Amino acid sequence: MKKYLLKRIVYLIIVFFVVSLMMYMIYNLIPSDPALVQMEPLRKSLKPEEWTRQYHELRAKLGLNDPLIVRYARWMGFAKDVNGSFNGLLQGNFGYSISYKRNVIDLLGVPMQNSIILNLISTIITLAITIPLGIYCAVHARKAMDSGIQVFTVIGYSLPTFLIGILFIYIFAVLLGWFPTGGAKTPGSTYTGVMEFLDRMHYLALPTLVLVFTGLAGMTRTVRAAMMDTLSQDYIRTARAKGLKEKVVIYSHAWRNALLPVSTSIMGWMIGVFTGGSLVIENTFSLNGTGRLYISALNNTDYELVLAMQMFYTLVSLIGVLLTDLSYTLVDPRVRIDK
Amino acid sequence: MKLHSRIISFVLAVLMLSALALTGCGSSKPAGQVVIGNSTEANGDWTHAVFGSNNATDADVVQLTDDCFTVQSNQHGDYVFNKSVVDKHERTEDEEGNVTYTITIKKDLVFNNGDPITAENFLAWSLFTLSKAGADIGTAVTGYNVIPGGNTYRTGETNTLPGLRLLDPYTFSVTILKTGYDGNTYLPYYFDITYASMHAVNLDYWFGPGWHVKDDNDGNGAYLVNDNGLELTMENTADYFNAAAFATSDRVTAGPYNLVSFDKSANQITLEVNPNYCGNFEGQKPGIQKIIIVKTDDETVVDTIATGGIQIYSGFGDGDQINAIYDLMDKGTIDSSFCTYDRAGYGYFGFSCDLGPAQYKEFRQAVAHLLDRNEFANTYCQGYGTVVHGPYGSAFTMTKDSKKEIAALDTYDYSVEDAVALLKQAGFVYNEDGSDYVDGSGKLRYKKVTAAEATNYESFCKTVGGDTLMPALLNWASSTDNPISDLLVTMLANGEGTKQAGVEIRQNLMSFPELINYLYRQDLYGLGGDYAVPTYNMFNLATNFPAAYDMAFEFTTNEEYLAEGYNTTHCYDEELDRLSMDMVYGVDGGDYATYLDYWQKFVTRYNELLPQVPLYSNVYHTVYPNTIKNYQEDSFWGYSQAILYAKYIGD
Repeated sequence: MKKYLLKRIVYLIIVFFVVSLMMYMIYNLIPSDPALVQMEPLRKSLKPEEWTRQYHELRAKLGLNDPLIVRYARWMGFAKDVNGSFNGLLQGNFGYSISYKRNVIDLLGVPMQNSIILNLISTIITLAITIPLGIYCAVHARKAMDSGIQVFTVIGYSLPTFLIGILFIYIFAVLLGWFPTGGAKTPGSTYTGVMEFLDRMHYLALPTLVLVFTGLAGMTRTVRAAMMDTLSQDYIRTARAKGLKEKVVIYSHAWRNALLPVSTSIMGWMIGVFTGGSLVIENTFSLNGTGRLYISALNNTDYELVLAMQMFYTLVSLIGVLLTDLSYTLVDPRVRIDK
Repeated sequence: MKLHSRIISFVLAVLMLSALALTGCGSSKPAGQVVIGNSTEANGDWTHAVFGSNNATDADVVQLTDDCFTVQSNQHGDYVFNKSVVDKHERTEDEEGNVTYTITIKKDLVFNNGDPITAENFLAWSLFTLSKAGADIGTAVTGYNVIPGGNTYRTGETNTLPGLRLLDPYTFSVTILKTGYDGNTYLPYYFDITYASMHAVNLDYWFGPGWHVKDDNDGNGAYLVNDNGLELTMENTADYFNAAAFATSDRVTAGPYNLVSFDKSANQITLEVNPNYCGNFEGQKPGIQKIIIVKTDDETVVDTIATGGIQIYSGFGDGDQINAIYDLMDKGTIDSSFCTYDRAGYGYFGFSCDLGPAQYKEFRQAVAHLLDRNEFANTYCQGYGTVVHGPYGSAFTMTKDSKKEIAALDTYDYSVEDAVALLKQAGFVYNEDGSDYVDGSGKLRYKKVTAAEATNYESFCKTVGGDTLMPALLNWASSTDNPISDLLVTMLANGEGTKQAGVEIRQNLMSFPELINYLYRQDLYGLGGDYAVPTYNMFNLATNFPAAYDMAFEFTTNEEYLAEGYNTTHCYDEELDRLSMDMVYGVDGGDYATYLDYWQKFVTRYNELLPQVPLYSNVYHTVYPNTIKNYQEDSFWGYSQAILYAKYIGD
């Protein structure tokens, strides 16, 4: 087990650096000049000679005149920066955002917290609905109710998220007036404690509803397929032949065995809680999350911010995959990791 | 009888005075709150753009909270001294042409925390941002080239700034050099009043405890000094400076409102009236007690207004949204009104006037004749747009004062006949095989050109019998997902008139950053050398004019400037260059008559050369609730300024 873990961690580190190199190269292939982005607003207020001097000074300061591989080494922290010190990702410097004019590390906290809360709530609710729903569909496979659920859930899966978002806003906010159209709290409110929590939840309800609706189909079908596969096994037939109650057959024998493929999906979803910021949902409901931050950074050609977020996602994903593999041993006693 | 009438008159007078007093009391007390929607997410940078430009929401919050300036721009975009701050001011010019503004401020000014405002507070910002400490922190300021002693002060060689003087506790002066340290001529400058625009900052709040501005009257000027012996360095000030610049509450400022909170998580900014505010340049103080600014998504903004989520939203330009809100008003869903104003800018397509057929004035004019711009503006803006015929907006004071000159501009009405006549005039009278062109054949026209004229356009040209033939073809750089581009394809590139005239417009789709690189002809990182080669000769973009109409260097013919991305139209016309420069650098500050004369000549020359063809200028609509009155935005008068004049009249 230890040897296996060590081997996987070494792989993880190698993959991380390969991905970082690829990401850096890709983003730097995009035709944009960070120095120009910063200097362009000053073109009118400076005389051309002064503008030109400052522009070239900034390019030198940002190290933009050096070869790409040198810039990568500096960004990662393998090589000294223009000031002569190691000050890269490995040293904890996530970079500087040219659009927000602050260190990247200072920008990530609030959006990440918002995205995690939204994703966590919607993931828990979705799992709470889809797992029983999937089991029910598998047990009642090819009956009218199963078909109805399949059709209903697939609507959320098939329609574009922004369309569902706008439709839900129209129904639940404009027509029924149950929820606000967007935002994260009542404008100007000074609630504290429970009232603040309830107010936040009131504002999160509609985006959560949309996320849950769009997420129903995937997990329902995964659970349904896993359960149907398990229910057709010989040992289930044996259990039934023994005269066990149907509930015991389904929840004690079938569900536990169906859990193996399902657990992979659940783990994937939980990783998504930390990495996924829903760009569409966050934009539609004016929420300050990581998806929105990411697209804003892309639009503003703020690549240090984009790269920092990408590398964070990469790291979380790699660790998540490792944890998923390790979790197999917990779910299925037949799985042993010895090598 | 007489006595009775006197008593009655007296009683009436008392009643009237009481009523006036009561009304006055009522109107002077701010009340109520409004929620303002904004499509731009606040970054939380509350400096006056010292780290580069502020985004729109940040700029509005700064305007609302920190506008204790000596000079402000008025409703027409003209700069004026702020009579609520400035007691007296004087502009003097020495024999070398250097200009000094001496300003005495009023004595009763205070910050929102009650600290008094003196001349020190007005000098402190410039003294810090122009210093080496300011440079190290990353302040992007420019004054060190034009203020005496600024060059050595910026590098840290000196710690006093002779160009700034603290003359007494309420008087200070700023001097501007005629010739800057970079060798450029900075005076005369029509907008030189902007050099006298300084704002009050609280020294303790921005730089830490113990800082003062002093002037020893030895000619070395003003300087920043610390009671505790601290030197003016980045290390000693950065923490305070950054904390003040990005604070989320309790900022020490002197504007009409105080920043109560900036909730980053909810993208929500809450402001409340600053009772210590001295008023703006007209002495106006806010009438609404509380303002909340929230981030609003463009797709759902109408629904948000319908449900009362926001009450004010500035600058609707989309016809569908404007009509939807009119519907909401008609149905009584919302109790709101619109105020409308013309955009100080427009969408346009521009040429690279040194490449291919776009280098000929007559060709550019012919292309303008091939588009029905009125129809274009009407279609795109759905009735909420206008057409201008030059680089101006209807809100400019100059435009209002130039009715005759504006009326005399060529409107380039849709006319295939006029376009054909101009194309012939430009020499596009051949077929691709060199034979004479027959009007109405629908084929592409060609013109015999020299090798120099064909430079960088060889791939489109034909060589027939030793002659080089250039097609009447525009190579158009067009950004993706752009509705203007789509409409231009329909109405111009694929227009029947374009084909009839024998012109082709070839659309090349690309990302916006790539388009900008081609526009500026930038050679990035040494990777994309192609950008430096003139490739496209038509671009569609949009522009907004600032309050200070300054076109200097926009039409430069200086090759060094061109290499750095100046004059993106590549319209090399000595007269246009001269007019655009002299309009601001050939006119004394405040000499409006001379400025206007240059402006009119510039607009006329531009209209003739036509480096850009204006397509549409929006009539913006701002929705506001009927619970407030006296709310009027304008082209240079956004919500952060208009809200000061609004009065809350209740539900």
